[in-house]
Amino acid sequence: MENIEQVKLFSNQIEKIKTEIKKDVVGQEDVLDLVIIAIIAGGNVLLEGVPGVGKTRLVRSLGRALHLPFSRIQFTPDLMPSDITGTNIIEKDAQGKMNVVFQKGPIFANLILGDEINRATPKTQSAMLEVMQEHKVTISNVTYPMAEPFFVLATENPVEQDGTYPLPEAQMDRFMFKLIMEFPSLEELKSIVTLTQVTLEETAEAVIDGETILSMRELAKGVPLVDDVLDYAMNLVTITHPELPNASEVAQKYIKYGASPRAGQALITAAKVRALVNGNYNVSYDDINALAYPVLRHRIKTNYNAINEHLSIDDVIGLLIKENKRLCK
Amino acid sequence: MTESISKFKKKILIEVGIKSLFISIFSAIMITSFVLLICKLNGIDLPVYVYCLISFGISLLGTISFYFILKPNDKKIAKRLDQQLELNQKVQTMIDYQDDKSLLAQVQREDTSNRLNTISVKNMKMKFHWALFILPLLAIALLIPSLLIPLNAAPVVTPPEEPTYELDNETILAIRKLIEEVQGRALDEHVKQAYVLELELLITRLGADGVKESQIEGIVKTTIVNENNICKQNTSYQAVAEILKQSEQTAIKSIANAMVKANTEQVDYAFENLRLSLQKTERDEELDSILMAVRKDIGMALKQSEVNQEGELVKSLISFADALSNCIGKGKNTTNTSFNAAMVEVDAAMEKEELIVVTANDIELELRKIFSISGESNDPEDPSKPGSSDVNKEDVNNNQGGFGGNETLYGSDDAFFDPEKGTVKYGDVIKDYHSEIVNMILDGTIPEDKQAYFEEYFEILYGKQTEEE
Repeated sequence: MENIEQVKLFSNQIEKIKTEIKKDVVGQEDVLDLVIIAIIAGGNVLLEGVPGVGKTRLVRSLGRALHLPFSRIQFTPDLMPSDITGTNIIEKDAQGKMNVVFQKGPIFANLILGDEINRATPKTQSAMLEVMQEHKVTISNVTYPMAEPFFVLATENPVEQDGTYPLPEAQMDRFMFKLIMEFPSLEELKSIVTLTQVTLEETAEAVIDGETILSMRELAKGVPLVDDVLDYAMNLVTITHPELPNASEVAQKYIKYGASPRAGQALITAAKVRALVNGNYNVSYDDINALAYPVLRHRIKTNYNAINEHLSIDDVIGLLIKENKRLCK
Repeated sequence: MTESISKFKKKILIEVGIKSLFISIFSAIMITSFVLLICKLNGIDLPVYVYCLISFGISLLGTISFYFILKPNDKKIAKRLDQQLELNQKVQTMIDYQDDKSLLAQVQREDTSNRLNTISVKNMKMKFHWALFILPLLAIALLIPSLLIPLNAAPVVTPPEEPTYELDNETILAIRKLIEEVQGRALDEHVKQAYVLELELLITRLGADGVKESQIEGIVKTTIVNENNICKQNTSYQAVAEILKQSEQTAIKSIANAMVKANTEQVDYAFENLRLSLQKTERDEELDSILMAVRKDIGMALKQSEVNQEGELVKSLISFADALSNCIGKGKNTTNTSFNAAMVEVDAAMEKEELIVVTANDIELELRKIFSISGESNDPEDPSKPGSSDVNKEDVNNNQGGFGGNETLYGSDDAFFDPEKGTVKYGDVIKDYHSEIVNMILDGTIPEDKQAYFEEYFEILYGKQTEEE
């Protein structure tokens, strides 16, 4: 239920979550903010980072803070879809009668950590599609809905490319954000080492529950959004397409293909949450610009020109934002 | 909610007013400079107040117009506040969702209002309009050359100051001489005084201060006209001639034609013709009928006309007609005696009138000569006046019986036949002329030394046969 107190406590609750997670995760504050935004917005996150930067620990700690069941799936080349979703098995009951029962897979949790998702075969990866988008699993014509809030946080290792299967575009598009976990700074590294010398267990305590998350999600949907900002956001998505007649110069020069409409949806949904997280009650251009990187990063593909000019995807997104500001002035 | 932006709105509207005023003033300067430039290039020198009025009018209208053009609505004000005060689209959202009753919209409005209340209106800086930079430059660019360029007026041709006429002694002496000459003539005293007075007046007019040389001709012509008017007022020969012209008798018509020239000699000739025609009658009845006709055409016509009956010429002619009528039934001799007696009176009257006319003409000729004025007479209706027709009376007098310049034969009003202008063919009247000339030769009217001339003339026209006839 919406009430003024809930609205005003929104950012406080977010602060509480962050405080608890920071007990277990050192640094990575930007990533933490965006992960929390994605959870409240109902989106999934693809985390990219080298091994050992705290990806798994972040999700574990998040699960504890949110007081939500957590499940970890280590993707390997031999991982089968049924290993994720679960399967029907024949089970003998107490009377010795044989029954076919559904054995739930690790996907049946609120928080899923898909570790090194790009190591699984496309067949297995595709098993994630339905559940990520529709929050349900269909096995033997029986559909099993996921418990809400349902959140998938997948990781991939950008270094080791041998024996990996790049995620198909359709699956990539189902991630709201793609976040980059940078290697920690020296100070952060020292803190990590110091912290893990005491205990390897997460210490974060539950400060919020799933129901609250869902009510926060509902609340965020009502954040006011003026037409100018909406136009700005949609224009930003549109100008990523080099094939459109009014394509931006940046897109024509550096982009191979542009973002899907889901990018626009993700941008606005996440921007509303971000506004509330930052204590604002309306979406601003800053929200759109800040979220443009995680939203568009995995949805647009740069061409050879960008590679040739040593422009990263974030550089190209920066150029797009600059051009969009000029166009929408 | 809108109250929270009212202080900013007020400032923005004042700013718009100031901008409108400046834009209008610069526009006014620019347009006025342009008008000034165009006027100067075209040599139009408008008074300064016109430019002031143009400037004021444009400034006034421009301020009002630009105010309403530049005046922003609430959305634009909100956008500007968000930009300048870095409010992250809070104000825009507040305006857009001002009627939204959702919880978040209410919280957003409240939050924005609180933020706006904490911000001083001084934090909002003035936003300059591009016209405020461009218009002053254009205004200066137009104003400077328009002020510096001289008026391209067509050079005003100042007519040279007209010299003032100075009446010299020579002119005065010439006029005085003319006055003396007029005074020496045997005119009636009142006529003489009138002529002299007019000439004295001329000297006075010419000697007046400030008389320009160009005015001299006008002054002299006025005098000539006045002299001619004096002449007309004191003569009646023209009016009499007009009446006599209506007669059906050739002799009376000849008298009229001679009289209109104011030439006594010609009039005498004409009367002599009448006398001869009376003498040539073979019967008394014929004589009486002519006398009655003369009585009717001269006496009765003059008495019944509007001609001044007191004029000496009119009186003498009426006496002449009465004297002839008294001769009816008394024969040729009595008629001849009475005719001659009556003619004395007519002659005297005619001579008086001729002298008046001649004096006026002499005055005119002399004045024209003194002041070197040529051209037409001021009395074109009067054929006796110099320059009034193709014949100069003086020239004619010097060439008695000769022909005039173009069309008029002296002593007659008969025109030479002109196929384009004439109405009577010469051939139709030549026989009458011939018989008249033969009579005049026979009775000795034409002197013997001139007779050969006439005979030769008609011999050329008719040959020897005419003489035989």
